[in-house]
Amino acid sequence: MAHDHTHTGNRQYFTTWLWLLVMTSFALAIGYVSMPEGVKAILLVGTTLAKIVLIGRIFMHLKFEKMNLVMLTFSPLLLSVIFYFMTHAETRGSDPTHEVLSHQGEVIPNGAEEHEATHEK
Amino acid sequence: MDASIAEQQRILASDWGGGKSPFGTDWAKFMMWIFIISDALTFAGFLIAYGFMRSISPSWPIQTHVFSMPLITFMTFDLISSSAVMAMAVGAARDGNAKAAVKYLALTILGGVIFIGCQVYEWSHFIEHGARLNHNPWGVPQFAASFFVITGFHVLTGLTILAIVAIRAATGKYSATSVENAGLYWHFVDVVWVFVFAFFYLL
Repeated sequence: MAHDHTHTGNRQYFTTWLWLLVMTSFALAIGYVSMPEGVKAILLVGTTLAKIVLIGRIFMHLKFEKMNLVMLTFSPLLLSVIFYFMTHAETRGSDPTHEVLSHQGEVIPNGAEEHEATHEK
Repeated sequence: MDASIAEQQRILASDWGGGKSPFGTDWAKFMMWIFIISDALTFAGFLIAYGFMRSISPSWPIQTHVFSMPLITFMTFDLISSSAVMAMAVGAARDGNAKAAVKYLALTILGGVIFIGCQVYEWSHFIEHGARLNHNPWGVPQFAASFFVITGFHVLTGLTILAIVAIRAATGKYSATSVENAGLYWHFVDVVWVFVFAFFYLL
């Protein structure tokens, strides 16, 4: 039982919290820095998964749980991957005629002058 | 006869024989994990649907231009901090230190209330600018719809659970397991927000 294990101390929670803040800052920087959408997506997915692993292992104490339970928690990620590949063929990303324009190609939609623009995908 | 009883005992003693939990947890915690996993499956569906809608849409608003990113960053900081404090509450409850557990639970709730306050501000600001469930000024109906569907409800649910556990803890009617289960859900709320922060606001 997980209760029988020595639980994680406050010091490790603090260290984890610091790491999460560092990774959040990194994700924020990725969001703002201009780079190809594909590279941005890979970096953001990687950072997000690293944060999830930290929260799961330390805060949710998965490092003390049996592997059976740990594996069970991966099922939503597996489903996401299946859904992604199931829908990928229908997306514009697989359309060779589709162009992904940069944020420079912004247009302001009708009736939303006070807002910033949309960008063509 | 003895051999068959011995065989039955051997099977029961095995991980999947029915005699013990193959997951090594008590039923309450295991049910919480099952709930979290089913909720995560729902959310996986939501996020993939969001990504799909976005990728088939000819245009999509730039989120950083629509939402206040300093506010979203502060909300992320707040939720991560409250998650860390919640982990301390679980540790204190396991140590049998009820006073510290209640203190940390109260701080966690405070973090959650601040988050909800920011969320209310964000929702009202968004609605004020014309965003509705099925239409919005940016011309992409799915943009506002996905925002309304994805944000807010998990934190509200988590806060309700935390409030119940905190009240019970303050009156001495709690167990370390109930604090741990509430904590598991609160950390899950954090996990959901980590995904929302990356895929809804930054990507």
